[in-house]
Amino acid sequence: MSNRGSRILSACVSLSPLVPFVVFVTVGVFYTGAQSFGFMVSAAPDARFSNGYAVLYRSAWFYRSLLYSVGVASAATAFSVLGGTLIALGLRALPERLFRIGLVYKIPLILPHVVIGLVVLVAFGRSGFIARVFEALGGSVVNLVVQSLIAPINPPGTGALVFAYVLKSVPFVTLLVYAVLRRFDTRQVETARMLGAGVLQRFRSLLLPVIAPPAATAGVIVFLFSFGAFDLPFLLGGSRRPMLAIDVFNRYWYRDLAARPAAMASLIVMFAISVVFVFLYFRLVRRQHHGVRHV
Amino acid sequence: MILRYSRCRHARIIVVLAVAVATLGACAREGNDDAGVLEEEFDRIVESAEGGEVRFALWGGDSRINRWIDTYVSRELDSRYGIRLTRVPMDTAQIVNRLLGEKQAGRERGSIDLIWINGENFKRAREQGLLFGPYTHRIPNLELTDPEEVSYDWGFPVDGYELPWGQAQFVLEYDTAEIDEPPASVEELDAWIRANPGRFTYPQPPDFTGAAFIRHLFYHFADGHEIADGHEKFLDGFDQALYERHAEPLWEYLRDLEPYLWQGGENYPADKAQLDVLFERGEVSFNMSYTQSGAQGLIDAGRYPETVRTFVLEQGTLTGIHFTAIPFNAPNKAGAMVVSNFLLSPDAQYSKNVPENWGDFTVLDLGRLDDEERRRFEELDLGPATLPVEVLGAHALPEIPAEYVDAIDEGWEREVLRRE
Repeated sequence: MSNRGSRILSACVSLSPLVPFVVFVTVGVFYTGAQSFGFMVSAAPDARFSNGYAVLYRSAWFYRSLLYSVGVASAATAFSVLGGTLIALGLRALPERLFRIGLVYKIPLILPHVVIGLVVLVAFGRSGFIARVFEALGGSVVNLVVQSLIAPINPPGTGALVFAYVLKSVPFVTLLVYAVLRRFDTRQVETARMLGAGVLQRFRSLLLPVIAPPAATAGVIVFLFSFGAFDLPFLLGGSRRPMLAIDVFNRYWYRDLAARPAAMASLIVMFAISVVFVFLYFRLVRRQHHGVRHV
Repeated sequence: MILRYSRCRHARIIVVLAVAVATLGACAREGNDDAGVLEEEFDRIVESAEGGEVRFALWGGDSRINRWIDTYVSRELDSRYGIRLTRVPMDTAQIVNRLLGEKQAGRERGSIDLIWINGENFKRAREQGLLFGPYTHRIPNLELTDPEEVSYDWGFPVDGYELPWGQAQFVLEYDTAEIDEPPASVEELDAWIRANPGRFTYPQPPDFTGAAFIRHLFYHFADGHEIADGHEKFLDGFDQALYERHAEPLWEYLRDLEPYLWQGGENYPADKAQLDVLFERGEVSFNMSYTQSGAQGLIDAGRYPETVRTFVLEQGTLTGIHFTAIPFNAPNKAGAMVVSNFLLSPDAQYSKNVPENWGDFTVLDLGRLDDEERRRFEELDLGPATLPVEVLGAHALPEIPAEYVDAIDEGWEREVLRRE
C-alpha cells in the first residue's frame, strides 16, 4: 500500500470514534427535519400532515416563546459572566492561605442542574424554607427585607429561572476565567500603576484582554445551554412564558400527531439559532485574533 | 504497523456486527404469539405467565399509589402467580405517544406490558391501533362487574380492549381549621374566590385533575347554570357548534376570574402534585382530587392535618371509571392478562379501596359478590374526611365524551393561558 494510502487509512482509524456521533446527529437532524415538514410522522399511509413551519409562522405563542428563551438565556449569560469574572478576580486577589476556602465556589459545579432547581424551588418559594424561617420573626425589618429580597426569585417565574441558571453557571465562568488569570503576572499591573495608569486604563489594557476570551467562551456555552435546556424551565418556569424546550415537549407529548411537525420545526429553529450563534462567535474570535492582539 | 492495527480493528468490528445481527435475529424470532393467547383457557394463560416479568406503565405522581403497587400488588403477584411486576412511572399521554412512536417504527416487541388508561387517551390509543385485543372476554373477574357500567369509557365503546380497574369521583378538599363552611355550589365557590384573592387555583390542563375541574365549569355554563340538566346534550358525541357555543362564556369567565387566583393567575401549578404542595404549605385554601378518599389517605400518611375534609358541589361532580389495557406490542401479554385479572379481583379491589393504601373505589358490582366479600366492602371505614357513599352517589355526574376533553384542554390553553 502506498504511503498516501496508509496515511488516509490512519486518519480514518483515528476519526472512527466520531462515527457514531456523526451518524447519530445526521440521522437525528434528517428525521427531525423530515417530520418538521410533515413527513414520516405517522406509519399510516393515508395520513397527511401540515408543514410545521407554516404552523409556527402563524403562531404568536411561538414568537413569544422564542423571544422569551433568547431573553432568559441572555440574562443568565450576562449575570453569570459578570458574576463569574468578578469572583475569579476576587480569587486571584486572595492571599495564599485563604485560597482553599475560596474553592467553595466550585460546589454548584458538581451539583446537577435538577438539584439546583430543587434547591431554588424549596428554598425560595413564597411559602418556601427561607420565607418560613424569617416569617417566624413576624413584622420585623429583617423579615420584611428578606421577603422582599427573595420576592423577585419566587418560583415559578422568570426570576427564579434566571437565578438558578446563574447559580449553576457562575462557578463555570469562574473556573475558565481563573485558569487564565492564574498565569497572569500581576507585576504588569503594578508596573502600569507606577507608570501612572489609572484603574480603568489598567483594567482595559491589561486585564480585559486576558479575561475576555475565556469569559466569552464560557458565555457562549452558558447561552447555548440556557437557551435549549429543559430541566430548569420544567421545574421553575412560569405558565405563560414557556421556554422553547418546554413548548416543544408540550407539543410533542401532550397533543395529537398533528402537532408533531410544529414541535419538530421548533427544534430545527433552535438548532439553527445555536449554529448561527456559534458561527458568529467564531468569526468574532477570529477577527480579534487577526486584528487586535493575540492572547 | 498501522495496516496491521487497522486490520485487527476491522476484524473486531466485523465480529461485533456479526454478534449484533445474530442477537437481533434471535430477538425477532422470539416474537409474540398474540392469537394463541386469545384462544387459550385462562388457566393455561396463568400457567404460561408464571416466572415472567410484567412491566406496568402508569402515572407516577401519587406516592401512595406507587407504594401500593410496589408492595401489596407486587407481593401478591409474586406469591400467587410467580410474576415479577415492574412499575414504569409515566404520564398516560406520554405512554400513548411512545406506543405511537413504536408503531411508526414498526417495533413489534415493545417494553411495556400493561398500562393504566381511560378517557381521551384510550380513544386515541384505540383509533391509532395501539392496543391489543379484544381480550377481556378471557378475563374471569370481568364477570363481577356490571356490563352496563363498564362497556363505555367516557362515551367511547370499550369493545374488549381495556379492563375496568377502579371508579373515581371528583371532590374538593379544604381545612376545617381555616374554613367553617365550604362553598356549596359553583356560585358560592366563585364568590369565595373573589372575596379571598390569591387563595385558590387549579392545576394547568392538560393535567388530569385540573382539566376535570374545568370540565365542571364547562357543564355549569352549558345550560342555565344547571349542570345536572346541562350535561345530557353532550353525551351523544362531539358537536363542534354546541361546543363552541358553550365554551365561549366559560373562557370569558375564567379570564375574568384570573386576577383573583393564586399569583394573580400569572402562573398555574403545572400539575396536581404542585397544587398538593401549595395546599399542604397553606399557600392556597382548597385542593381538588379525582379520588373520593384521597384526602383521608393523605391524613393517614401524615401529610394533611386531621382537620382536612372533602366536599362536592351541589351541581354534582364528575365520576369516571379507569381501566387497564395491553399495548399491541407488549412482550408478555399472558402475564399482563393475569395481572389485570388480579387487579380486578375482590382482594385487590378491597385493598385498593382502603384509604390508607389508595382509596380508589371498587368497580365491582357488589351484588355479584358473595355475602362475605360484599360485607367487607360495606363495612370498610373510609374515614371522616371521605364523604358518605350515598352523598357521593347523589352528586355523581357522568364524564363528558372524550372528544370534548381534548377540545376543552386546547381551548383553555388558547383562550385562557395564552390570552392575557
